[in-house]
Amino acid sequence: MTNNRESYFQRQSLLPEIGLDGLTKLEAASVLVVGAGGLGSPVIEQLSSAGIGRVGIVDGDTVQYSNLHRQSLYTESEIGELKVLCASRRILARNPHVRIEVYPQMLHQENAIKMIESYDIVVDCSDNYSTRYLINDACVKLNKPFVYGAIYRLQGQVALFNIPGGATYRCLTPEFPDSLAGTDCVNSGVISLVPSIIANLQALETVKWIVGLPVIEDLLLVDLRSFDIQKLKLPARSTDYTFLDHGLNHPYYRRDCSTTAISNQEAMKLVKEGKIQQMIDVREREEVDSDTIDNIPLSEISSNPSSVKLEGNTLLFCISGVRSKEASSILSRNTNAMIYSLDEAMTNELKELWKNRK
Amino acid sequence: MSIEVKYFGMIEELVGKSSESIDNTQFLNASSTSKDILIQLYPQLKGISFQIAVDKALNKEVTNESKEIALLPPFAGG
Repeated sequence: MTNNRESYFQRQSLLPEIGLDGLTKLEAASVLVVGAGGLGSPVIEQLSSAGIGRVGIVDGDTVQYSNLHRQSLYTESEIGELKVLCASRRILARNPHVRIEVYPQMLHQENAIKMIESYDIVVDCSDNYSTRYLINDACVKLNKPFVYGAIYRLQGQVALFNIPGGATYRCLTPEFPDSLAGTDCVNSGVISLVPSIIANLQALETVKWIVGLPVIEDLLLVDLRSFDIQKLKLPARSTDYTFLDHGLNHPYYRRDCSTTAISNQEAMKLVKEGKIQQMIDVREREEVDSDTIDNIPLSEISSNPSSVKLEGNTLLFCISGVRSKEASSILSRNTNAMIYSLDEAMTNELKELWKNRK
Repeated sequence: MSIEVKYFGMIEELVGKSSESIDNTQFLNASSTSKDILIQLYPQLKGISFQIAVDKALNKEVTNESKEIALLPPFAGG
Protein backbone atom coordinates (compact mmCIF):
# COMPACT_ATOMS: atom_id res chain seq x y z
CA MET A 1 0.00 0.00 0.00
CA THR A 2 1.28 3.42 -0.86
CA ASN A 3 1.08 6.37 1.49
CA ASN A 4 1.00 9.12 -1.03
CA ARG A 5 -1.54 11.89 -1.38
CA GLU A 6 -3.33 10.30 -4.29
CA SER A 7 -4.05 7.11 -2.42
CA TYR A 8 -5.14 9.05 0.67
CA PHE A 9 -7.76 10.86 -1.40
CA GLN A 10 -8.50 7.95 -3.76
CA ARG A 11 -12.20 7.72 -2.84
CA GLN A 12 -12.69 11.45 -3.10
CA SER A 13 -11.14 11.76 -6.55
CA LEU A 14 -13.51 9.05 -7.79
CA LEU A 15 -16.27 11.61 -7.31
CA PRO A 16 -16.91 13.01 -10.80
CA GLU A 17 -17.37 16.55 -9.42
CA ILE A 18 -13.86 16.42 -7.94
CA GLY A 19 -11.68 14.04 -9.94
CA LEU A 20 -7.90 14.24 -10.10
CA ASP A 21 -8.19 17.74 -11.49
CA GLY A 22 -10.20 18.89 -8.45
CA LEU A 23 -7.70 17.22 -6.16
CA THR A 24 -4.91 19.23 -7.78
CA LYS A 25 -6.87 22.47 -7.38
CA LEU A 26 -7.54 21.70 -3.72
CA GLU A 27 -3.88 20.99 -3.10
CA ALA A 28 -2.90 24.32 -4.66
CA ALA A 29 -5.48 26.22 -2.60
CA SER A 30 -5.07 28.10 0.66
CA VAL A 31 -7.85 28.95 3.12
CA LEU A 32 -7.76 31.13 6.24
CA VAL A 33 -10.19 30.09 8.95
CA VAL A 34 -10.95 32.90 11.40
CA GLY A 35 -12.07 31.41 14.70
CA ALA A 36 -11.46 27.88 15.94
CA GLY A 37 -14.59 27.47 18.04
CA GLY A 38 -18.01 26.00 17.31
CA LEU A 39 -17.98 26.82 13.61
CA GLY A 40 -14.22 26.74 13.19
CA SER A 41 -13.64 23.22 14.52
CA PRO A 42 -15.75 21.41 11.89
CA VAL A 43 -14.61 23.80 9.14
CA ILE A 44 -10.92 23.16 9.87
CA GLU A 45 -11.54 19.42 10.05
CA GLN A 46 -13.53 19.27 6.82
CA LEU A 47 -11.22 21.50 4.81
CA SER A 48 -8.20 19.47 5.84
CA SER A 49 -10.04 16.25 5.07
CA ALA A 50 -10.99 17.57 1.65
CA GLY A 51 -7.34 17.98 0.70
CA ILE A 52 -6.84 21.74 0.87
CA GLY A 53 -3.09 22.30 0.59
CA ARG A 54 -2.71 25.10 3.13
CA VAL A 55 -5.07 25.93 6.00
CA GLY A 56 -4.43 28.92 8.26
CA ILE A 57 -6.11 29.11 11.67
CA VAL A 58 -6.54 32.39 13.58
CA ASP A 59 -7.64 32.26 17.20
CA GLY A 60 -6.10 33.69 20.37
CA ASP A 61 -8.24 31.67 22.76
CA THR A 62 -7.32 28.73 24.92
CA VAL A 63 -9.41 25.59 25.33
CA GLN A 64 -12.09 25.85 28.03
CA TYR A 65 -14.05 23.01 29.59
CA SER A 66 -17.32 24.48 28.31
CA ASN A 67 -15.97 24.38 24.73
CA LEU A 68 -15.61 20.60 24.62
CA HIS A 69 -19.27 19.73 23.99
CA ARG A 70 -19.20 21.41 20.59
CA GLN A 71 -15.59 21.95 19.59
CA SER A 72 -14.57 18.49 18.50
CA LEU A 73 -10.91 19.31 17.87
CA TYR A 74 -10.11 19.55 21.57
CA THR A 75 -9.85 17.16 24.50
CA GLU A 76 -10.13 17.56 28.23
CA SER A 77 -6.38 17.18 28.69
CA GLU A 78 -5.83 20.26 26.53
CA ILE A 79 -7.74 22.73 28.71
CA GLY A 80 -5.76 25.95 29.01
CA GLU A 81 -3.70 25.28 25.86
CA LEU A 82 -3.91 27.50 22.79
CA LYS A 83 -6.65 26.28 20.50
CA VAL A 84 -4.62 26.78 17.34
CA LEU A 85 -1.86 24.45 18.58
CA CYS A 86 -4.29 21.74 19.67
CA ALA A 87 -6.18 22.03 16.39
CA SER A 88 -3.00 21.75 14.36
CA ARG A 89 -1.86 18.66 16.31
CA ARG A 90 -5.19 16.95 15.90
CA ILE A 91 -5.51 17.67 12.19
CA LEU A 92 -1.96 16.58 11.34
CA ALA A 93 -2.46 13.29 13.17
CA ARG A 94 -5.30 12.44 10.82
CA ASN A 95 -4.15 14.15 7.68
CA PRO A 96 -0.46 14.30 6.86
CA HIS A 97 -1.13 15.96 3.50
CA VAL A 98 -2.14 19.41 4.68
CA ARG A 99 0.01 22.31 5.79
CA ILE A 100 -1.46 23.98 8.86
CA GLU A 101 -0.40 27.53 9.68
CA VAL A 102 -1.35 28.89 13.08
CA TYR A 103 -1.88 32.44 14.33
CA PRO A 104 -2.34 32.41 18.12
CA GLN A 105 -4.04 35.81 18.21
CA MET A 106 -7.38 37.40 17.48
CA LEU A 107 -7.93 38.98 14.10
CA HIS A 108 -7.67 42.72 14.61
CA GLN A 109 -7.27 45.79 12.48
CA GLU A 110 -3.48 45.75 12.62
CA ASN A 111 -2.99 42.14 11.53
CA ALA A 112 -6.04 41.48 9.30
CA ILE A 113 -4.62 42.60 5.97
CA LYS A 114 -1.30 40.89 6.44
CA MET A 115 -2.91 37.59 7.45
CA ILE A 116 -5.62 37.51 4.82
CA GLU A 117 -3.55 38.59 1.85
CA SER A 118 -1.60 35.35 1.55
CA TYR A 119 -4.73 33.16 1.31
CA ASP A 120 -7.13 32.52 -1.56
CA ILE A 121 -10.32 32.57 0.50
CA VAL A 122 -11.39 33.22 4.10
CA VAL A 123 -13.92 31.31 6.17
CA ASP A 124 -15.64 33.46 8.80
CA CYS A 125 -16.08 31.30 11.89
CA SER A 126 -16.16 34.20 14.33
CA ASP A 127 -18.77 34.82 16.99
CA ASN A 128 -19.14 38.60 16.98
CA TYR A 129 -20.00 41.47 14.66
CA SER A 130 -16.67 43.26 15.05
CA THR A 131 -14.74 40.40 13.53
CA ARG A 132 -17.33 39.86 10.79
CA TYR A 133 -17.14 43.49 9.69
CA LEU A 134 -13.37 43.42 9.88
CA ILE A 135 -13.20 40.24 7.74
CA ASN A 136 -15.60 41.79 5.25
CA ASP A 137 -13.81 45.10 4.98
CA ALA A 138 -10.36 43.53 4.73
CA CYS A 139 -11.61 41.07 2.09
CA VAL A 140 -13.22 43.87 0.07
CA LYS A 141 -9.97 45.80 0.25
CA LEU A 142 -7.95 42.76 -0.84
CA ASN A 143 -10.53 41.44 -3.29
CA LYS A 144 -10.82 38.05 -1.56
CA PRO A 145 -14.01 36.04 -1.23
CA PHE A 146 -15.17 34.87 2.18
CA VAL A 147 -17.62 32.27 3.36
CA TYR A 148 -19.89 33.66 6.03
CA GLY A 149 -21.63 31.50 8.60
CA ALA A 150 -23.48 32.48 11.76
CA ILE A 151 -25.94 30.90 14.12
CA TYR A 152 -28.70 31.94 16.45
CA ARG A 153 -29.99 29.10 18.62
CA LEU A 154 -31.49 26.55 16.17
CA GLN A 155 -31.17 28.84 13.17
CA GLY A 156 -28.23 29.59 10.93
CA GLN A 157 -27.08 31.56 7.93
CA VAL A 158 -24.51 30.84 5.23
CA ALA A 159 -23.38 33.00 2.32
CA LEU A 160 -20.42 33.45 0.05
CA PHE A 161 -19.53 37.13 0.04
CA ASN A 162 -17.30 39.28 -2.12
CA ILE A 163 -17.00 36.93 -5.09
CA PRO A 164 -16.49 38.97 -8.27
CA GLY A 165 -19.55 41.21 -8.68
CA GLY A 166 -21.28 39.58 -5.72
CA ALA A 167 -22.72 41.11 -2.57
CA THR A 168 -20.66 41.79 0.54
CA TYR A 169 -21.59 41.39 4.19
CA ARG A 170 -22.34 45.11 4.22
CA CYS A 171 -24.94 44.60 1.49
CA LEU A 172 -26.72 42.30 3.95
CA THR A 173 -26.12 44.40 7.08
CA PRO A 174 -25.00 47.86 5.93
CA GLU A 175 -24.56 49.42 9.35
CA PHE A 176 -22.87 47.97 12.38
CA PRO A 177 -25.80 46.99 14.61
CA ASP A 178 -26.18 49.69 17.22
CA SER A 179 -28.63 47.83 19.31
CA LEU A 180 -27.29 44.36 19.76
CA ALA A 181 -30.34 42.95 21.48
CA GLY A 182 -29.33 39.46 22.29
CA THR A 183 -27.41 38.62 19.16
CA ASP A 184 -23.85 39.58 19.99
CA CYS A 185 -21.60 38.61 22.83
CA VAL A 186 -24.44 37.13 24.78
CA ASN A 187 -24.56 33.44 25.29
CA SER A 188 -27.96 32.64 23.88
CA GLY A 189 -27.33 28.91 24.15
CA VAL A 190 -25.97 26.45 21.64
CA ILE A 191 -26.22 22.73 20.90
CA SER A 192 -23.25 21.32 19.01
CA LEU A 193 -25.42 20.12 16.12
CA VAL A 194 -26.26 23.61 14.91
CA PRO A 195 -22.76 25.07 14.46
CA SER A 196 -21.70 21.68 13.03
CA ILE A 197 -24.39 21.78 10.36
CA ILE A 198 -23.71 25.40 9.42
CA ALA A 199 -19.94 24.87 9.48
CA ASN A 200 -20.19 21.87 7.17
CA LEU A 201 -22.16 23.96 4.70
CA GLN A 202 -19.48 26.66 4.90
CA ALA A 203 -16.73 24.10 4.23
CA LEU A 204 -18.77 22.64 1.37
CA GLU A 205 -19.11 26.00 -0.34
CA THR A 206 -15.40 26.67 0.16
CA VAL A 207 -14.48 23.39 -1.54
CA LYS A 208 -16.98 23.99 -4.37
CA TRP A 209 -15.56 27.45 -4.97
CA ILE A 210 -12.01 26.09 -5.12
CA VAL A 211 -12.75 23.27 -7.57
CA GLY A 212 -14.92 25.56 -9.69
CA LEU A 213 -18.38 24.13 -8.99
CA PRO A 214 -21.34 26.52 -8.85
CA VAL A 215 -21.60 28.12 -5.40
CA ILE A 216 -24.49 29.65 -3.49
CA GLU A 217 -25.25 33.19 -4.61
CA ASP A 218 -27.97 33.82 -2.03
CA LEU A 219 -28.15 34.03 1.72
CA LEU A 220 -29.02 30.57 2.97
CA LEU A 221 -31.32 30.81 5.97
CA VAL A 222 -31.84 27.58 7.84
CA ASP A 223 -34.39 27.04 10.59
CA LEU A 224 -33.55 23.63 12.01
CA ARG A 225 -36.70 23.48 14.14
CA SER A 226 -39.03 23.30 11.18
CA PHE A 227 -36.59 22.64 8.32
CA ASP A 228 -37.73 25.89 6.82
CA ILE A 229 -34.71 26.35 4.55
CA GLN A 230 -34.73 29.41 2.34
CA LYS A 231 -32.44 30.99 -0.19
CA LEU A 232 -32.86 34.75 0.08
CA LYS A 233 -31.66 36.74 -2.89
CA LEU A 234 -28.97 39.16 -1.71
CA PRO A 235 -29.19 42.82 -2.70
CA ALA A 236 -27.05 43.91 -5.63
CA ARG A 237 -23.49 44.71 -4.68
CA SER A 238 -23.31 48.19 -3.24
CA THR A 239 -20.81 50.51 -4.88
CA ASP A 240 -20.47 52.58 -1.72
CA TYR A 241 -16.98 51.88 -0.45
CA THR A 242 -16.76 54.81 1.96
CA PHE A 243 -16.35 52.31 4.80
CA LEU A 244 -12.84 51.73 3.46
CA ASP A 245 -11.97 55.40 3.92
CA HIS A 246 -11.13 54.91 7.57
CA GLY A 247 -8.41 52.45 6.58
CA LEU A 248 -9.59 49.63 8.85
CA ASN A 249 -9.34 51.98 11.79
CA HIS A 250 -12.72 52.12 13.43
CA PRO A 251 -13.57 51.58 17.09
CA TYR A 252 -16.18 48.97 16.32
CA TYR A 253 -13.56 46.55 15.02
CA ARG A 254 -12.19 46.54 18.53
CA ARG A 255 -15.35 45.53 20.30
CA ASP A 256 -14.80 42.10 21.71
CA CYS A 257 -17.17 40.30 23.94
CA SER A 258 -15.83 41.83 27.11
CA THR A 259 -15.14 45.44 26.36
CA THR A 260 -14.54 48.13 23.79
CA ALA A 261 -11.71 50.46 24.70
CA ILE A 262 -11.89 53.88 23.08
CA SER A 263 -9.92 57.13 23.18
CA ASN A 264 -11.13 60.60 24.21
CA GLN A 265 -11.37 61.53 20.56
CA GLU A 266 -13.51 58.50 19.70
CA ALA A 267 -15.65 59.13 22.77
CA MET A 268 -16.25 62.75 21.75
CA LYS A 269 -17.39 61.62 18.34
CA LEU A 270 -19.85 59.17 19.89
CA VAL A 271 -21.17 61.80 22.31
CA LYS A 272 -21.67 64.26 19.45
CA GLU A 273 -23.54 61.61 17.49
CA GLY A 274 -25.77 60.96 20.48
CA LYS A 275 -24.54 57.37 20.73
CA ILE A 276 -23.68 57.49 24.41
CA GLN A 277 -26.54 57.75 26.87
CA GLN A 278 -24.61 57.47 30.10
CA MET A 279 -21.16 58.04 31.55
CA ILE A 280 -19.96 56.47 34.75
CA ASP A 281 -16.86 57.28 36.74
CA VAL A 282 -15.79 53.94 38.27
CA ARG A 283 -13.20 55.38 40.66
CA GLU A 284 -13.76 54.98 44.40
CA ARG A 285 -15.80 57.69 46.11
CA GLU A 286 -12.85 59.28 47.93
CA GLU A 287 -10.94 59.77 44.66
CA VAL A 288 -13.69 61.67 42.94
CA ASP A 289 -14.23 65.44 42.67
CA SER A 290 -17.59 66.73 43.78
CA ASP A 291 -18.47 67.92 40.28
CA THR A 292 -17.89 64.63 38.54
CA ILE A 293 -20.25 62.71 36.35
CA ASP A 294 -22.23 59.77 37.85
CA ASN A 295 -20.00 57.80 40.15
CA ILE A 296 -20.36 54.05 40.68
CA PRO A 297 -17.09 52.64 42.07
CA LEU A 298 -15.67 49.45 40.57
CA SER A 299 -15.87 47.82 44.00
CA GLU A 300 -19.67 48.23 43.99
CA ILE A 301 -19.98 47.11 40.38
CA SER A 302 -18.03 43.92 41.02
CA SER A 303 -19.81 43.06 44.27
CA ASN A 304 -23.29 43.69 42.89
CA PRO A 305 -23.35 44.09 39.11
CA SER A 306 -27.11 43.73 38.77
CA SER A 307 -27.68 46.80 40.97
CA VAL A 308 -26.23 49.02 38.24
CA LYS A 309 -29.03 50.39 36.11
CA LEU A 310 -27.77 51.28 32.65
CA GLU A 311 -29.63 53.84 30.56
CA GLY A 312 -28.26 52.68 27.21
CA ASN A 313 -24.83 52.79 25.63
CA THR A 314 -22.44 53.68 28.41
CA LEU A 315 -18.93 55.05 28.66
CA LEU A 316 -16.97 54.01 31.73
CA PHE A 317 -13.86 55.83 32.82
CA CYS A 318 -11.30 55.93 35.63
CA ILE A 319 -7.74 57.33 35.51
CA SER A 320 -5.96 55.10 33.02
CA GLY A 321 -8.57 52.71 31.61
CA VAL A 322 -7.62 49.73 33.75
CA ARG A 323 -10.52 49.80 36.20
CA SER A 324 -13.01 50.95 33.59
CA LYS A 325 -12.01 48.02 31.40
CA GLU A 326 -12.63 45.61 34.27
CA ALA A 327 -15.96 47.26 35.03
CA SER A 328 -17.00 47.12 31.38
CA SER A 329 -16.30 43.42 31.13
CA ILE A 330 -18.52 42.86 34.19
CA LEU A 331 -21.36 45.10 33.00
CA SER A 332 -21.35 43.92 29.39
CA ARG A 333 -22.40 40.44 30.51
CA ASN A 334 -25.82 41.65 31.55
CA THR A 335 -26.72 44.14 28.88
CA ASN A 336 -27.21 44.43 25.17
CA ALA A 337 -26.09 48.04 25.18
CA MET A 338 -22.59 48.96 24.06
CA ILE A 339 -20.27 49.38 27.02
CA TYR A 340 -17.22 51.46 26.23
CA SER A 341 -14.17 51.90 28.38
CA LEU A 342 -12.13 55.08 28.07
CA ASP A 343 -8.57 53.80 27.74
CA GLU A 344 -6.88 56.97 29.00
CA ALA A 345 -7.54 59.82 31.44
CA MET A 346 -10.61 61.86 30.56
CA THR A 347 -9.80 65.21 28.97
CA ASN A 348 -11.59 68.37 30.16
CA GLU A 349 -12.79 68.76 26.60
CA LEU A 350 -14.73 65.50 26.75
CA LYS A 351 -16.01 66.29 30.24
CA GLU A 352 -17.30 69.68 29.14
CA LEU A 353 -18.82 68.24 25.99
CA TRP A 354 -20.72 65.68 28.08
CA LYS A 355 -21.91 68.22 30.66
CA ASN A 356 -23.12 70.62 27.99
CA ARG A 357 -24.81 68.04 25.77
CA LYS A 358 -28.39 68.65 24.82
CA MET B 1 -55.32 40.20 0.64
CA SER B 2 -53.15 38.81 3.35
CA ILE B 3 -49.42 38.43 3.48
CA GLU B 4 -47.43 35.88 5.47
CA VAL B 5 -44.91 37.45 7.84
CA LYS B 6 -42.05 35.35 9.23
CA TYR B 7 -39.93 36.41 12.19
CA PHE B 8 -36.39 35.06 12.47
CA GLY B 9 -33.67 35.16 15.11
CA MET B 10 -34.39 37.17 18.22
CA ILE B 11 -37.14 39.09 16.43
CA GLU B 12 -39.33 36.07 17.00
CA GLU B 13 -38.93 36.60 20.75
CA LEU B 14 -39.50 40.33 20.50
CA VAL B 15 -42.81 39.97 18.67
CA GLY B 16 -43.78 36.76 20.46
CA LYS B 17 -44.48 34.60 17.40
CA SER B 18 -42.61 32.94 14.55
CA SER B 19 -45.08 33.84 11.82
CA GLU B 20 -48.50 35.29 11.17
CA SER B 21 -50.76 36.28 8.35
CA ILE B 22 -51.62 39.98 8.15
CA ASP B 23 -53.62 42.25 5.86
CA ASN B 24 -51.38 43.64 3.14
CA THR B 25 -53.34 46.87 2.59
CA GLN B 26 -51.46 48.66 5.37
CA PHE B 27 -48.28 48.17 3.38
CA LEU B 28 -49.82 49.34 0.14
CA ASN B 29 -51.66 52.45 1.29
CA ALA B 30 -48.82 54.05 3.16
CA SER B 31 -46.03 56.33 2.09
CA SER B 32 -43.69 54.72 4.63
CA THR B 33 -41.34 51.87 3.81
CA SER B 34 -42.40 48.30 4.56
CA LYS B 35 -39.83 48.23 7.34
CA ASP B 36 -41.34 51.34 8.96
CA ILE B 37 -44.82 49.79 8.79
CA LEU B 38 -43.52 46.73 10.60
CA ILE B 39 -41.98 48.96 13.28
CA GLN B 40 -45.35 50.73 13.66
CA LEU B 41 -46.99 47.33 14.14
CA TYR B 42 -44.32 46.23 16.60
CA PRO B 43 -42.79 49.29 18.32
CA GLN B 44 -40.42 46.98 20.19
CA LEU B 45 -38.51 46.63 16.88
CA LYS B 46 -37.56 50.29 16.92
CA GLY B 47 -33.80 50.61 17.15
CA ILE B 48 -33.30 46.90 16.43
CA SER B 49 -31.12 46.08 13.46
CA PHE B 50 -32.98 43.92 10.92
CA GLN B 51 -33.46 43.49 7.19
CA ILE B 52 -36.59 42.44 5.37
CA ALA B 53 -36.90 39.95 2.56
CA VAL B 54 -40.00 40.12 0.38
CA ASP B 55 -40.75 36.90 -1.50
CA LYS B 56 -37.25 35.67 -0.72
CA ALA B 57 -35.42 38.76 -1.97
CA LEU B 58 -33.68 41.01 0.54
CA ASN B 59 -34.29 44.75 0.78
CA LYS B 60 -37.43 44.85 -1.36
CA GLU B 61 -40.69 46.64 -0.71
CA VAL B 62 -44.08 44.94 -0.40
CA THR B 63 -46.27 45.17 -3.51
CA ASN B 64 -49.79 43.97 -4.25
CA GLU B 65 -48.41 40.64 -5.49
CA SER B 66 -46.15 39.97 -2.50
CA LYS B 67 -46.91 36.76 -0.65
CA GLU B 68 -44.34 36.68 2.13
CA ILE B 69 -42.13 38.93 4.25
CA ALA B 70 -39.25 37.68 6.36
CA LEU B 71 -37.75 39.80 9.14
CA LEU B 72 -34.14 38.97 9.57
CA PRO B 73 -31.88 40.34 12.29
CA PRO B 74 -28.14 39.81 11.90
CA PHE B 75 -26.85 36.60 13.50
CA ALA B 76 -23.59 36.76 15.38
CA GLY B 77 -23.15 33.36 17.00
CA GLY B 78 -20.43 30.92 16.09
